[in-house]
Amino acid sequence: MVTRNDLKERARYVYEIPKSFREGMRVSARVYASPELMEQIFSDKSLDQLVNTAMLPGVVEPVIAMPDIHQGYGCPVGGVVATRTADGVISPGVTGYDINCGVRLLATQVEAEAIRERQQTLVDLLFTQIPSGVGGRGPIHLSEGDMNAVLERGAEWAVKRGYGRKEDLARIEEGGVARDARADAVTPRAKQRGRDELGTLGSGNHFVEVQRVERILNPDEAERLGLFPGQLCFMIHSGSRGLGHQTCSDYVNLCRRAMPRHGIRVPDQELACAPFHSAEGQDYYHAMRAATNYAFANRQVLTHAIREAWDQAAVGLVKDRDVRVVYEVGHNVATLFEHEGEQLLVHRKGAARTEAGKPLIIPGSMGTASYLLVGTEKAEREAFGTCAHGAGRVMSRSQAKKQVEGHALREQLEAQGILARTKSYAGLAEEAPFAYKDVDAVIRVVDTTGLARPVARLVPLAVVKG
Amino acid sequence: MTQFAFVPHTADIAIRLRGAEFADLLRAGALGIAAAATDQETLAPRRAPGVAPRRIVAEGAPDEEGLLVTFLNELLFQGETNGEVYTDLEVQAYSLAEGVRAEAYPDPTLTPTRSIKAATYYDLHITRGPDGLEATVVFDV
Repeated sequence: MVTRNDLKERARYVYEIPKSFREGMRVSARVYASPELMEQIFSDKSLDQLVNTAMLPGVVEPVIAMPDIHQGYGCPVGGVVATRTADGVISPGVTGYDINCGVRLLATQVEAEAIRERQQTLVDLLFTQIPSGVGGRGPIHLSEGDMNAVLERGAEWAVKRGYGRKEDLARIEEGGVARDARADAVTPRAKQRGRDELGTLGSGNHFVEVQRVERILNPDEAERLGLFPGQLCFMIHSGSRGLGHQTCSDYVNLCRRAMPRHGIRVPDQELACAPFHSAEGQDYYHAMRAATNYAFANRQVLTHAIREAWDQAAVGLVKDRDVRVVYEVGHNVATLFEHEGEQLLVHRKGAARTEAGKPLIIPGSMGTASYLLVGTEKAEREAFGTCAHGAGRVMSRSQAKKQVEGHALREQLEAQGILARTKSYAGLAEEAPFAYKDVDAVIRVVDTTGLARPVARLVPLAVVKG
Repeated sequence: MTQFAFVPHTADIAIRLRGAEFADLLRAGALGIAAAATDQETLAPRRAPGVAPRRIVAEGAPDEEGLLVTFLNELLFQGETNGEVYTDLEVQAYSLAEGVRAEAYPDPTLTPTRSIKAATYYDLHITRGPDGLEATVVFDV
């Protein structure tokens, strides 16, 4: 187990686990955390999982833990693992099952106060019109041709089918279309799982929130991004649904079989991988990029549903009912990245891709604040263009349920002025705010270390949970 | 002997499976998935009267851990695409080369309240002791 004594403080909120810590480590591990977050990080095996990733072939110095890190499976959530494409590996398990799970922020043109009398109507419309929870079927049944088009054209496909506007695409990473996606690399079983799920929220920690801009922290950037105090916004958290899960499962198995042939050994089988340029590595890369497109399209269709619900709720009350996409960032992705003259593949498991000057979204737990930030050159230079992705869990789901019952939690949230709708009250309890770290503490670390600059703080008014 | 128990995990769901033989581990895994999907701490095997079992075929794997995970993921796939929760399992045959053939018994009275994305290989080791086999599987949820 990694202990406090194994960490060397390199700068304020920056710690290192040297590669001499464990035999087999090819690079050191860096942890961005404050002392208070570090206490929570030591409560599980997340740093040991991070150390394991430092043993992957072709890994680049250092592997990184973001301040919201917590234990996952194989790679910790909040882990960043860059490998050289020339002689390094690609790992489906390090990227994760919900490929390109991510968040999208939408902004109305009015203050939240303008809709207060219809806030309940709004959340009820969102809840009834957005399929959520287990087994939720979406508004679209994809034919084989449409499925292939979604996998290769992402959000652009959705916009062409009327689920949004062309200008939305400019405010999504990669314009909402992941290059190098190949529909034929996605297995028929994965396509089968995804056929009826486009435009569905899913369950677990996925949500749609109605939010209010509580505080502007960087007026110039806020103005550039079209945010103002009191503004009513929406936030979506969802991913590639069953198609992404199946894609990861299929390729973890393929890589496990291929590893002996490539002479690769890993400290944990969930880190199964293949050389990036091998047939298995390339097939996974193209399939993962295709699943990335499915997630882009999914959030685009969800955006359309939110616009429709908002339009119905606000008609006759609000004149300008335009809803703009502010930005969208993905969390479980592996992308190519140029770094010091080398091409890398940056695996981000529960970590957000960020670019200097571009927006970044860090949602908090249900009932707490979320942040809009902008990326920095420092994050590109020091963290392979990556930042934290959320608050990060600190308590198991079963423990959370022992501490609060779902209906009671809903009442507590409503007493705080936050309307909650869910199909699973057990699931609601599992996502209780106290099961997560303090998002403000996470933001302090990313701000202090220069990984991102906060622009605005948003607080929830209503939440629809999967 | 077929047993499962939930083990604490920060974000996901970990289930410890016990069984006299490998087939019992598979059955324990099926019951653990059904309990996790329907938010129950325990679940005894049962077969709904008059409901036909679903045939489950999972491909082979290089080792028993692979066979276990591949089978559990096949069960998750069938459960999700057919909207079913399986409360009992009869393993008909298994081998590393041929995979697993089994019949899973859906209970139409149960509705899943939790989506389970996948069974993972994280820290997975099937161990043999005097009471049989044991393995802890972490599921991404």
